[in-house]
Amino acid sequence: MKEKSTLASMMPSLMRFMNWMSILPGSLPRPITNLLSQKSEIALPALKANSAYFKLMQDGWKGKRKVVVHPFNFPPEILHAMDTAPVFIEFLSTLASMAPEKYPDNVFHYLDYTYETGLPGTLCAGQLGGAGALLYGDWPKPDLILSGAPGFCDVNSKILEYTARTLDIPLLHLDMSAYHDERAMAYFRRSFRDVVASLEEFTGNALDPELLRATVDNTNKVIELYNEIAGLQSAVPSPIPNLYAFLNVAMKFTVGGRPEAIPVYEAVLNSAKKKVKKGEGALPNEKVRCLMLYTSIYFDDKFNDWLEENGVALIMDILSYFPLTPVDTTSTDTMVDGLADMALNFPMARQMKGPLDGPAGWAEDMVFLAKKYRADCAIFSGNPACKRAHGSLRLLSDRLKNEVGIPTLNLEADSWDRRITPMPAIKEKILDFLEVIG
Amino acid sequence: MDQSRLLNDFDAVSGTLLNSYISEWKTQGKQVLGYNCSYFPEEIVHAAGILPFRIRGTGCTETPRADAFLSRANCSFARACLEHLLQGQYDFLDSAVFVYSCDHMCTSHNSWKAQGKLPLIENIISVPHSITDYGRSWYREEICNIKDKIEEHFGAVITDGDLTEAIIACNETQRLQKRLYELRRADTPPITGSQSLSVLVADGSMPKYEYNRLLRALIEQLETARGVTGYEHRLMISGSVIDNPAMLAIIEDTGALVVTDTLCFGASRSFGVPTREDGDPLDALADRYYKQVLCPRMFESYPERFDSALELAKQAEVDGVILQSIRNCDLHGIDNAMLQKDFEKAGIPVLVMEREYDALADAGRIKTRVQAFLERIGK
Repeated sequence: MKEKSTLASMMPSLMRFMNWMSILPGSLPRPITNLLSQKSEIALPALKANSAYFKLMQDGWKGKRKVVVHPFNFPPEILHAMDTAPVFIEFLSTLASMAPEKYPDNVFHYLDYTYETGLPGTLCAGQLGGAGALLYGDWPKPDLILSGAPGFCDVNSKILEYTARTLDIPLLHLDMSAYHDERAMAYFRRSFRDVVASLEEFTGNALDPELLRATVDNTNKVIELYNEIAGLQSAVPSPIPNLYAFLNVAMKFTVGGRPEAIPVYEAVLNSAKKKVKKGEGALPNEKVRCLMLYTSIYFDDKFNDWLEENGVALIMDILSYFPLTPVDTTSTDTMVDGLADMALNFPMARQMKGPLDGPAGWAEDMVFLAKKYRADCAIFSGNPACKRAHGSLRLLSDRLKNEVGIPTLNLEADSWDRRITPMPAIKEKILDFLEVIG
Repeated sequence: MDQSRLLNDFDAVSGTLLNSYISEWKTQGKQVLGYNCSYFPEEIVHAAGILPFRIRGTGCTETPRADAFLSRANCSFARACLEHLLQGQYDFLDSAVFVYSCDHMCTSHNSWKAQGKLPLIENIISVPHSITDYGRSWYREEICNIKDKIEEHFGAVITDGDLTEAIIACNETQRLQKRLYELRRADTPPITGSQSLSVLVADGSMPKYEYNRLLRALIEQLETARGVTGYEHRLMISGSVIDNPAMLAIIEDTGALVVTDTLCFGASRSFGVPTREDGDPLDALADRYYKQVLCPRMFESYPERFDSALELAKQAEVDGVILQSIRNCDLHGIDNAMLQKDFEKAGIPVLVMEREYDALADAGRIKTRVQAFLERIGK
């Protein structure tokens, strides 16, 4: 059993840092950005956005807002528009996975704690790390848990159900079907509306159309910027640094709908345009364009840099792919339905809910992305908890080989738990793979 | 036919895939449709004059071919079923239909489809994970679509009358199985847990009227039969799918008797509300199957599932509950962690156990764990 405290005890200093970051302007003047490296240019607004997110969580812990824990496939826009403090469960796991091993708040301790209390060792560290921190009491007890993965991830949904029942707090379910057509969309919208109505009842706040519109306007702006960035990403060499994949996920699921998200995407777009204009890539020497078929590795924040040093450009991973169109802001109904449609197209919810080769299925999307972004190879990180992905990888890699002509490497690693495959072993596998594919 | 011959008959059906009843059925030029889950209404298949066969992994001890498609992260039951398909054990099926019961079965469906060995009736049936009015409407549409596709695939015509006749036959099965469980509640039950599972597994592997006839005859015998004596503990078993009576025989070899269960091949199917026999048959089937409380795949049903399990445990006066899950079956694995707390709170001792699908591969360890559990219970 680990020592009590930790993340909670680290919070004051982290908060001070984040509060300090919040005094930075949303966007830096161009003469200043011209002096910065591309990564710094992007990282600064991202830090500012993160500080806003931490501030919301802090408000929640102080009782100023209701704390709602949600998984990655629920759009935080609704929660922001209801003035709650949304806590993205995978964000907690990722923070804990990045903590040094000797720290008692490293994800190992939370995972091990859940195993000690009777949960199986085959679950997803992406949710279990955060859930473990909540169950252990290192993070304050939330007011409500929203389970959004029934239909594409049993593990995610069941961990959140267990956490809510154990902490004795309310639980909402968002359900989806196995298809991706109009009928499935209608079913999902209905379930989404039910969740929104329950949230209204729970928070005691009716969804304010103007606040929602302002939130959705921010998201629509981000969608436009994202789509423009995605257009540039197919350039060879890629003008987008590997860091973007991680930041994109972090922004979308934490400050999605908040104004602080916009400068991050603007910075990515501006820096990418400059690179394209100069005919440069984000990497000094792009050798291989890699499509991550699933999650990346999150427990080591130097992993992306290491890939770049070895000439590997991460052109896309499943969590960075958002095939979205702007939401219709005509009325509350069109916005809620539009956000539901968006959520059904969020990563994994889109690809993992039904047949591999169905419309928007994992194989369809990955073959499309490999072609669009001119991938030279594919890597499957291998999160052992994802039964859907593991059971379909062989069929997917066959399609990538036959239809796109690219090989797939299975890292057999866990994105959050470095004990499954340590970083030296991951690097060795990648280097061997790069050597084999020339 | 006497009791032992009847039990041997059920044993023969549950112990293999292609049994004599199916062979006889096929020689008559009739067809067989495989299905994978309790959320599929078998009545639709009976109504089409086709034999529904519940897909299982019976007899599979290794999965080398299936492992080339599925992975070690997938449950060994799903791998065993796919192995049988790849090895030709399911060549007697004319088609199969899949329900999205869990992530393992959904991903397994991809491989069944990709092999092209057996034409599947598509799409995978999408069963909602929450009980709502619109979820019930969705499920009704799903089974209606599948009915249409079965008609198209087999060139069959299914009338409301056919469906009602099939519902009546299946309700009769349910009534008989329920009686079987009632008999097992006696101080000296006339049948062991492994024998009972054999009877239950045979349902879903033979023609319904034959099954009902044999089960009716068995129950008549059991009503006056001498009961099992000499056991020390009465147990309930719950959790992941068990289609192999040998698993319960291993447990009963320790001197305990399994007197009830909540397995999807067992009591869970027998204790639901019977399907209405009047009105629109698809409405009746939708109500019966969609609203059944048996599987942790339904994310809001835990309180009802626990209450119903506790009631079964009390009715059968069990001394302890074994909560088992197949490795990687996260639905049951997490559910078991919740059930353990609640059963123990209700004063019923619990053994939580992870296992692989193939019971015999792990027989020694299972037996030791159960023996230790019985010692803990005392008596």
